[in-house]
Amino acid sequence: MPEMETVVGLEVHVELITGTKLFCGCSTAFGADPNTNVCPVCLGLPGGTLPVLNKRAAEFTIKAAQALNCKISEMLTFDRKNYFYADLPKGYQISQFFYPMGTNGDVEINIDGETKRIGIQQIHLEEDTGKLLHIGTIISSPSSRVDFNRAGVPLIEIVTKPDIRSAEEARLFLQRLRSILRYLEISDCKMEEGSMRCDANISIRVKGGDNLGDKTELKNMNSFRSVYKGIEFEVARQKQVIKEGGMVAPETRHWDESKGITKAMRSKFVSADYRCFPDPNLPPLDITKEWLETIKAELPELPAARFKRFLLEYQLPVYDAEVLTNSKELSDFYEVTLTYFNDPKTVSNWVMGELLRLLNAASLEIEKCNIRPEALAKLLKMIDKNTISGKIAKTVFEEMFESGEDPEVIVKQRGLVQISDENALEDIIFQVLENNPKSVEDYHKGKKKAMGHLVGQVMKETKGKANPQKVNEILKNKLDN
Amino acid sequence: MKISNSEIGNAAWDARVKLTPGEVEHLLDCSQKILQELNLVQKDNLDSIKATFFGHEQPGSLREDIITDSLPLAKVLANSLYADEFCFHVPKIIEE
Amino acid sequence: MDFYKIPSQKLAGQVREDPALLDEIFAMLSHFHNEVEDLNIFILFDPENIQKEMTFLKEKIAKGKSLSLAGVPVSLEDNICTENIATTCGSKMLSTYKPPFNSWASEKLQEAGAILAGKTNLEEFGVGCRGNSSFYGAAKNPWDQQRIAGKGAAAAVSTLMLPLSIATDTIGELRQAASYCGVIGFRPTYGRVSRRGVIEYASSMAQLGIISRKTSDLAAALEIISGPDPQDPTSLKGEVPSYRASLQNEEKVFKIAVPDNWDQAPGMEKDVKECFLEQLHNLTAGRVQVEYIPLRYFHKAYLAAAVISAAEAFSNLANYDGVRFGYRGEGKSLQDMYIKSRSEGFSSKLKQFLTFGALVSSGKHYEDYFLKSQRMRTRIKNELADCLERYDLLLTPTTPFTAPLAKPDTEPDQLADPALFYTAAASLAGLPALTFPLYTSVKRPAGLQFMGKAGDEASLLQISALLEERGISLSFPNPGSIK
Repeated sequence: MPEMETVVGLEVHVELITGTKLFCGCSTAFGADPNTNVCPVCLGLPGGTLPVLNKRAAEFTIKAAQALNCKISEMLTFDRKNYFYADLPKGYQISQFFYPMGTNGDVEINIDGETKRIGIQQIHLEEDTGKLLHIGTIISSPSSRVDFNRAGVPLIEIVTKPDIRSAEEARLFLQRLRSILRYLEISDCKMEEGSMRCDANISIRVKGGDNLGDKTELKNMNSFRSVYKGIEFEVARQKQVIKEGGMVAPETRHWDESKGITKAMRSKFVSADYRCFPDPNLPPLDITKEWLETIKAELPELPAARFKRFLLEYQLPVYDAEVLTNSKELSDFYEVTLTYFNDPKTVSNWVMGELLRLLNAASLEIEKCNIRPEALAKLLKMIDKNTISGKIAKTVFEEMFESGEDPEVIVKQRGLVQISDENALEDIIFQVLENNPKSVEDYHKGKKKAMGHLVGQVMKETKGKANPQKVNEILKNKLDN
Repeated sequence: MKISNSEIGNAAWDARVKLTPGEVEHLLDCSQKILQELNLVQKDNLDSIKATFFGHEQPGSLREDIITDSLPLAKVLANSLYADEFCFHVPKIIEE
Repeated sequence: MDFYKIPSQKLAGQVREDPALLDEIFAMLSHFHNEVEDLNIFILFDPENIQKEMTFLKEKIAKGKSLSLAGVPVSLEDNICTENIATTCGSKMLSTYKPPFNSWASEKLQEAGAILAGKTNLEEFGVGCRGNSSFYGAAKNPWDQQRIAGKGAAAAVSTLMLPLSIATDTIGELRQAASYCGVIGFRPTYGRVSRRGVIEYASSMAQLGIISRKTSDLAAALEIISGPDPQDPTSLKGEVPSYRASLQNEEKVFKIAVPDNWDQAPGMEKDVKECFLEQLHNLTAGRVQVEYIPLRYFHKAYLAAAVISAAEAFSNLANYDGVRFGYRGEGKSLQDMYIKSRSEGFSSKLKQFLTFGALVSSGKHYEDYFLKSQRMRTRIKNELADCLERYDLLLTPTTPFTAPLAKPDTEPDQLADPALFYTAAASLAGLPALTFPLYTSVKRPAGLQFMGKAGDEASLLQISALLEERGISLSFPNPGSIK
């Protein structure tokens, strides 16, 4: 059998964080009671359907298109995609079918130490649909309930070219995409909450050749992990079908997270004739050069550029730069800390080590973290000046994380100042040597390990506050003389 | 191009209406006639010109992103006979 | 008091002076309504609501508000939303619908002190003008009850009951109905009057228009309901001209073009043709010059309009799904419920129209029907623009025939109705148009249709005033003798 390769294209839907819906002034706030953020426009009431475009939503989409290196359409237009479904109030969705906001862009991902470009076919702006709820379980429920709060919330859809070759590339692409959109501050991109959704078109072909079957569209992957697992499973399934001499059927499949398998879906998504045509209520609007330039001027430094800058400017290892720049908030935190304590590698170690560890353990976003960059810098300065030991600093850091208290205050209140005073240390060491004759003997017999035990004892006596360097020095001196 | 009975049937389904055989017949006849008439305009090389989809040439307008009042829930649900205290009801939908 | 003889603005002045007149107006409306009940003009005539509005108006007058239409009774077509007042679109589908909001037009009229006299009957969802699809039966023609009015709005003004009514004109329905009923029918430039709160079926053509017997009433009402509305994305920006002031211009010379093949409409009635020719002859005097010009696409407009309006209607009416409002049929599955709701809630005629709309916009026929029609639309628009650069107005008959006989519901319509042969072009091109009543030798009204440049409503009002002045005066059917 010739070598096979996986071909994946992603369709990613992302909700924009505007205050209001795409075509009416209803709030987009999450978590309101059902049908309380609706009006005649987004409910599609007779006589109430005139849409007026949200300027911010348009600008967010242009921003995203610019950040994804797309060619931006010269005209802002909208089309109706017509179909009947319970979550679609007007019987059509307003979308950009004929002239997507951006086309032909790309996103860089770093895989196995190399940079790869994933092509972006298009990015366009459209309305979200409402939501179906069920009474009791799906099976026992006599009817479905519909909540239109999400109907009309602005969504951007990003469609990649079929450039993705593995589940890992898909995951990396999505992460990079999320990172870019969050840098732009246009979406919070939470897959678990549905503000970022991803479908995958998957097929298998002979390497560089023709497809060996039709592609399947995989839906219902609600986390980065499930995108990875879903694609992995589907690729394996298709390879198996081909291996057994079968053909992959063109169909929509559903990722079942609990069972870890994909299943064919029923008819709703059978390719329909959407009869797209320009929405006569929304005349085209010129996207002028001036408008584009104004928006472009507001673009922040994006993850790829920041990554490169971190390598050059701070001499960080690739891994550090990658982890730090993946999140705008994290890299902002990092850089602000540097303005107070300019030791890039040390700060990176602390941010990537202690800070991320505690954030992950508490499932907390960095914006909501108690520790501010100034405080971290203060702590690092105390280590630098030998006021506290690195080990004590970790304890202080944990307390800062809990309470948000100033590190100096914590150190003072708990008497954690490092003991560097040689006289004080000599007294304690004298005691320890007295109390541990066996270790002293072992040391003299050549068991250098005994030294460690003695240092440990000193630290124990001082509750960890002894300056370890000094302790070593004095101990060695005493034992050897 | 000829129009078939089944095309009319598909179109009726897509418009979610049910037509009688007589209605289908009549519609087929009318549609055919209009298409023939339109075909007579062929010679004027329409393909090269831009279609007009809008009522005028005034550009579209934009709105600032400012929240306005939504409808009170009671008014939202007032015109539906199939609703509970918050939601509209539709026949059970089972996806997958 | 013969209120119908008094120009609306004068009446408003009198009401402001003496609000007690409102009681007389109320009595007049009730009397008229009884007289014309057989004509099936109104879907809703609610004396209680009229009295409520009048009480409210008296308070406003007492507060010294400037109300240019104080006490003037005006009807709205029943596809124009009125808050908490049934708005049915002449359809079983919406027979119980009460909008939770007002339309722009109803707000503006109320602000000006007008009294909502009732909601007038229309073809289901305002589609066409054949008198066979309203769930409430056809509105009858005051000149001949065997014939259709086309719209209750036109009949209401024709009977003298109301000086003004507001209705929709999509592919020319308002102008056709006005022509059938012998009154002035006016369609403004597309976007001049906000469509907010109007349940229309083809968004690229629908406009609110006005029906009246007097040009001055028309101008006054137009000023009230025109204007930029930030909530209608197609609403024309910029200031609204003073239409009443434009009527003061009595020096203007009119250069008028008539298409040389003006009499090519299918089903052209001999009387209409003769009457039109006669008027053409009469017109050409003094300030008016008429010339024939060739137009290549004008006579195809009704085909393009039939296709485009159906395609848009297919989409515009897709919100009737039985979920949030409107008639709902029982169905086990969602799709089944859609089919039942729409098949039972819509008339046979509308179902066919929507199916035709789905057909012409389908993937297979998008190019040969829909796109081609939209390209023809460009040609028509350019052709009219060229013509109106050289002439002030373009003139044709309004309809090829006088009011058709009412026919049974079962008789199918032509989808490309010859009734819109003359009216479709202005709708496609978004131009303002006005129909002025004529009388044929068979003693039934017909109409002269004038089309103007986009934004130039004034010329249409001026020609209307000129014709009025020349005494092509109208003897309206006497409401007392209608029965």
